[in-house]
Parts: sequence; C-alpha cells; structure tokens
Amino acid sequence: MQYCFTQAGAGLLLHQLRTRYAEDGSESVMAVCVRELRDHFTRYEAVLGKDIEQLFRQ
Amino acid sequence: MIHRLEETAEMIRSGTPLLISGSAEMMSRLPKGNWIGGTTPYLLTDKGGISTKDYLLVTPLPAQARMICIQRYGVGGLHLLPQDVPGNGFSVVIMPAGTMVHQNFAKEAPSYPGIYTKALTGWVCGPSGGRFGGRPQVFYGPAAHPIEDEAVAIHMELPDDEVASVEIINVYEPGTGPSIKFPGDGFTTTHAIIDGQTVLFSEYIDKRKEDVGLPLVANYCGTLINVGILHYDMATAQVTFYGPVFRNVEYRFAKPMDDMKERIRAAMPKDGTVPVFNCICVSNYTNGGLEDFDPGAFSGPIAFGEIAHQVVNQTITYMRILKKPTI
Repeated sequence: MQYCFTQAGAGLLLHQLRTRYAEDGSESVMAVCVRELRDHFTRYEAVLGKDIEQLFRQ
Repeated sequence: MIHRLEETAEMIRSGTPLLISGSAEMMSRLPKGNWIGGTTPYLLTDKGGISTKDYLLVTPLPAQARMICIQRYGVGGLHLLPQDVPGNGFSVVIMPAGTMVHQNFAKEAPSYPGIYTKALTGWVCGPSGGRFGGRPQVFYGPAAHPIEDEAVAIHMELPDDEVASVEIINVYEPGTGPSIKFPGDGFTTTHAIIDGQTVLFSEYIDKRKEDVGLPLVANYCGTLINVGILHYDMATAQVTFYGPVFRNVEYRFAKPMDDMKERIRAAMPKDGTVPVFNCICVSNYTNGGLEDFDPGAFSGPIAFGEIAHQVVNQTITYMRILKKPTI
C-alpha cells in the first residue's frame, strides 16, 4: 500500500493547491501556493518529518 | 471520560472549556458556561461503546490553551470559520447532521483559503433518540441552549512553543476496481465517469453487485478520504452519499474488510499518543461491533461525520498537541 499521511492537512492542502494552480497557472497563484506550502510545512515540521522521510523512501 | 449530569455541571462551573456529547435531554439541563455540545445516540467510552441517557461524554480542553471565544455560525457565516481559527491554536466545531450548515460546509470547505493550514477539528452530531430518532442538535454553552440549524465552535490559543495537529485514521484503502469520477460536486449524483465512460451510477452498482457498505476512497496526495453511499434508487437513478463527491477527484470502491475491529486496533497509534480530542464515525462503530472495544486514550463522541479541516467519513479523527522543534 502507498504510504499515507495521518496528518490530514498535508495531502488535502497539496490537492487544493494543485487544483487551484490547474485552474489559474499564473505566477501570482504560484506565489500564493508556495507561501501556503511553506507556512504549512514550517508549522508542522515536527509532525511531517517522519512522513516526508517515508515518502522519499518509496 | 463519561460523567453524570451533576459532575458535568460541576466541571462547567469550574470554568474549564469543555466539549460534551450525549442526549439532548441531559445536555438541556446543564448550566451556562464555556462549553459546546452535540447530540449523539452512542458514546465511545474507555470501556467500549454505550448507548446511555445517564451519562455525558466530557472532553476538557487542555489547561495550557487559552479560550478565545465560543461562536455560532449560520450558513452565511461559515466561510469565516477558517479565519477565526487562531493562528497558533485550534478550533473545535460541531454541526448538526443533515442540515444546510452541514451540507454547505461539507461541500464548500475544501475551497476555503487557509482551511488546511490551521488546526480545525470537530464532529457532525446526530440524533440522540432511540435508533436515531429525534433531531440532531448542537448546544451553545454560554447560553446553555440547543440549536438545530447552526454550527458552534470553540476557538483556543496555544503557547508559542506548541502546535496542534489534526490527524485521521482511515481503515479503508482503495480497491483494485476501476477509477470512478463524477460530473459535479454534491451529495447526490445520477451519473459517473468510469474508466472514461459516462454511465448511470446506480445501474453500475446494481449490475456489478458492488458492496455499498464499502465507501468510495479518494487519494488526495497521500491523504485517503472516504465517501460512503447512503442509498441508491434504481427508479430515479439517484445515488445519495454520506458526504459530497467532487468533480475531477478519482475514487475507487474500498477493498473489502474482514474484521473492522481488528483493523481499527491495528491502525491506532502505538507511540503513546494521547489526543486532546477525537471522534469516531458511527458506521465504524456499528459495523465494527465496538461495544466491547477498548479505545485506550481514544474515547470520544460517535460522529455522523468527522471534521478534519473538512468533513470526512468513516474515519477516526483526532487532534494532538506537540512541542515545536527548537532551532
């Protein structure tokens, strides 16, 4: 089975941003997406470290 | 933990912010205070699931968190909910099942900016009468009165060195069947796009004898989200779901499961996690036969939809608080 996050927000945020960027692929939308990702991964560094390690291993 | 009415009233009088679930009859006798509540027919206690009118399940929020406020949200104000969640903190929201506020939040929350970067959790409450009788109600503690058409939320701030994380345990995984997409967003559909072909979904379910006790599962970039099928009607060709399906999301029927109780037990965190809040879906409870299930630290409300940023189904949803790493 593919590795899954238990932290609900990470995958859902990635999906939301991917959908938003697919609808409007402008540089300004990209900048907002990058900022939201950076905010999220900074906030949840303690939780997501193990998830990111597992994803890299796949 | 479960408590009798007078014990719960005493806890409210102490000023501790509380989450309460149980029967409408008991909650309507509680005093005003810093609490929010939701009705439910069942409680998952530390000794297993029970149906009771003598106890309330009470979750005190952590002492180090500071309550900002308790707020009500109607359909028109729901979009403000994510921005009201404290930047460093968390919010717990309860909404009554089957209402406009539940349906609107379930459908619209995934598009709210910032919904996934703050810690928003909670549950969709159900009817508290015998075998699902009565209307789902939330309770607004500051006035100690029930509400049937709004959500209530408690907003809490954490110290700078802590962070709240909302997590889900999903015992289902996508099966090996075909990819299923839907032409629109919503709780109902007539059509589905299956392996690129548009078909009547009710006909597809019927012909293939799909087990509608199994949810559809979508993989959102590593987070598995379920949508259960409530019923399908061959006469009207309408298929109704417990939660909304979304256009352009790929679903698959879940793999069959032999022993849900065992699967839940295996999926529970083994790292000593003690959640500050958790809830479990009513269908996991009823299908899993959890009356004698020891949930450890995971006792909590039985939900008719769990809120892990957005509404999810057939999961165990929990929130834990962690220390931020020191740099």
